[in-house]
Order: sequence, then C-alpha cells, then structure tokens
Amino acid sequence: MEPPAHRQAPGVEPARPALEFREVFDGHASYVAATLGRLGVEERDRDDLVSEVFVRVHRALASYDAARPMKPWLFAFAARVASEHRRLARHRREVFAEIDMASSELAADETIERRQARQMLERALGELDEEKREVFVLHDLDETPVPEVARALGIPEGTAYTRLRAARAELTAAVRRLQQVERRTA
Amino acid sequence: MSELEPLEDDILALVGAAKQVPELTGARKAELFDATAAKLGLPPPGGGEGGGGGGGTGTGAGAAAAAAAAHLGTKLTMALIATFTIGIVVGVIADRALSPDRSAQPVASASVLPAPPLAAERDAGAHVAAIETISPASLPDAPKAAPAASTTPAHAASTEALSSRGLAAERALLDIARSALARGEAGEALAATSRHAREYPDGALVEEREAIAVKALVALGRKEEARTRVQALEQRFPTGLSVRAAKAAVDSAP
Repeated sequence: MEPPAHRQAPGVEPARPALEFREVFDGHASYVAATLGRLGVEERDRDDLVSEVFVRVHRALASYDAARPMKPWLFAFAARVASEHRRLARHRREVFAEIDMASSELAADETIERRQARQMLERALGELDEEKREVFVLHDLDETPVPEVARALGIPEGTAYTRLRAARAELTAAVRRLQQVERRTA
Repeated sequence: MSELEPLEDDILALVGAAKQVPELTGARKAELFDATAAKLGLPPPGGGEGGGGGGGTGTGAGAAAAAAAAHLGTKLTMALIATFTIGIVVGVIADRALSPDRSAQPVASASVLPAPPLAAERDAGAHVAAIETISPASLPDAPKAAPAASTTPAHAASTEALSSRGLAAERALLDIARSALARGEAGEALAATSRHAREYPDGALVEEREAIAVKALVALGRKEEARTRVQALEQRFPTGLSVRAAKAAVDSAP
C-alpha cells in the first residue's frame, strides 16, 4: 500500500500527520526492520533504529514524492541510520556477534529454511563494504531497478552497475567461504 | 557498461529464499510505533484511534502479555540453539578478524542520502564515549570470551549461551515494562523497571530501562520525579536515543 501524496510546503504542518505517518509506519515497519538487518544492524539494536528511521521519515514525509516508489526512499533513510550506527558501534560489534545469533527471533511467517537462508546471506553481506552492500540489497533483494537504485542512493547509474557487479562477485566469494566453514564444523 | 553477470544458481536460490521480508507481529509493531511516537512527541493513540490501519496493531492486554511471554521463550530457546551453532560463529568471527581492511572502510554515501544531517554527526565523539562505557565485563554474565579462539568450542558455547540468557532475560523484563506501558498500565511498567534496576543495576540496558521508567512516571502524573530522573539519565547518556524520547515525554506532559 503506497501512502497518499503530501502536498504541503516544507515547514507547514500536514493536517493529519499522525494518521498518515501511521499508515507509512504500519505498511513499512517490517521492511525497514528487515533492511536494517540486511545492512548489518544487529537484532538487539534493530528496534531502536527502526524507531530512529521513522523519526527521520516523519520529519521528511512532506517532501516525499508520491510519484516515486516508497521503498527505495525509505531504504535511503535506513542506509544512513545503519551507517551512522555502524560507525559508532564498530568497536563493540564483534563482542556481541555471538549473542545476536542466539537472540534473533523467528518471525511468525518465516520458515526455518528461509531464516537460515536469511542468516547466511546477512553474514555474507557483512563481508561487503557499505556501498556495495547497499546496492546489492536494494537491487537483488528488493528488486529495485538500477536507475531507481541510483536515484535513491544519489549516485550515477554507471556507479550503481559497477558496485552491483563487484558486490555480486564479493558476495559469492563470501558465501563460498561461509559454506567451507560450515562444512569444516559439520 | 550495464552488462551484468548473472548470479550462480545456488547463490540465486539463496537470495531468492532470503527475499521475503519477515512480517513483524502486530504487538511488536505497535510497541515500535509507540516508541517512535514518543520520540516525536506525538499524542498517544488513545483507544481506537488509528485502528483503521489494517487491524495489525492491536495492543490488547492479552495479546501484549502473550507476546512478552513468547518473546522470552523464543530467546531462551535460541540461546540453546547457540550451543550448536557456536562452532560456525567462532569460525566466522575468526575469518572476519583476518580481514584487515574492514576497520578502515570509508563511511560512504551518507552525504548523498536525503535525510538531513542529524546531531549524531555533530556529537559522534560523545556518543562513542558513552558506548565505550558498556564494556563486556560490565554485562551480567559477562562473556569472558575475548580469548574465545583459545577455548574449546564447547566451552565457548556454554559461556555464550549463559551471556545470551543474561541479556535475553534483561530484555524480556524490559519488554514486559514496555508492553505494560503500551497498555496504559504505568504502575506495572514502573514495577518492572524497578525489578530490572534491582537485578541488573549495571546491566546493558540501563538507558532503555530508565527511559521507560520516566515515561511511566509521566503517565502516573509524577512529573517532578520524572523530570529529576530524566536529568540524571541525560547526564549519564547525553546522546542516547532513548533519552530524547524520555525527555520529549516529560516536556509534553501536562
């Protein structure tokens, strides 16, 4: 469900901001939470950061162009919040990596197989740098066309293609490494 | 220029299986919305307001309590699963530790994204300092696993399972407090935060606990206590995300 267009000028309070914002929130909170996970935000931090993303979304909702798809627009907020978080939390991430494995929850509609695939992919994505990971997630997981990926991330299309190509190669290599580790420990 | 090599079949299958976005439960979504609304200073959705939003956000007492119980159960189960997966985890972490360039990676593309620059950039240094005070040793059941590579996988697994349980129990207690607050039972929420304070005085989630306690005090009309407590919270976590929410709750109190 796409949210309604916003016609107010920036700085003018929309007539029913809470209700419209709630529609955006309800329609996309799961997507934002999943995106943060794909961008490397650990489970224990995800609630706080979902909230932080939507605080920013709320502030910017008036400038949202309803002619554009909503997910890439939201993705850009999530990417920025994840990036800031990663910078602040980098030094403590590895200490907690094991805990996250234990505390991640199984969503009601997620099968064990899908969960395993998601976890494997999230670990492999963790091997990519931020720029490549963002392009890969937005294109290959969200199925956003490259021109829209480029627009959402504010990069030229050619750059998006270059990053996507490199991301696919690196992700494949990362999955192979993880599979080897699994085989060794099986 | 735009020629793309297709992904190999098994990678494509993996990506395909991971594409589905797991849907958050209605109760969790409602909690998240309440937390976000508090940060924004939006009025709480009293009673049925906003109830036309698809029926996925009900916050009935029974549903919230069941969610809290399920939350705890799931986390404890996952802690046990960790025992079996820790071998893989240790391997992955060792693998990551051998990649020297990760810590030097540039923070990219932030400047081209649409979100306005936030205070987070300005006071990043202060925030890092705040985070640094949460050392592994200060956690309940602290993971003394820094030298995990030199311990056996089984030993590491049991240590990590213990620390996971500690954190999971902390979170479960705060989930109960949050759920109670969402149902409008501020007294129960405050009691749960008090219990957390007794059991985990230096826990990993002190900031979250205090923020919930402040909101509960506001809801109980004990504004002066809330104000005193939020000031202490602000001093301890000057840039904490939860602190802003707590402060907004106090400031918007009648």
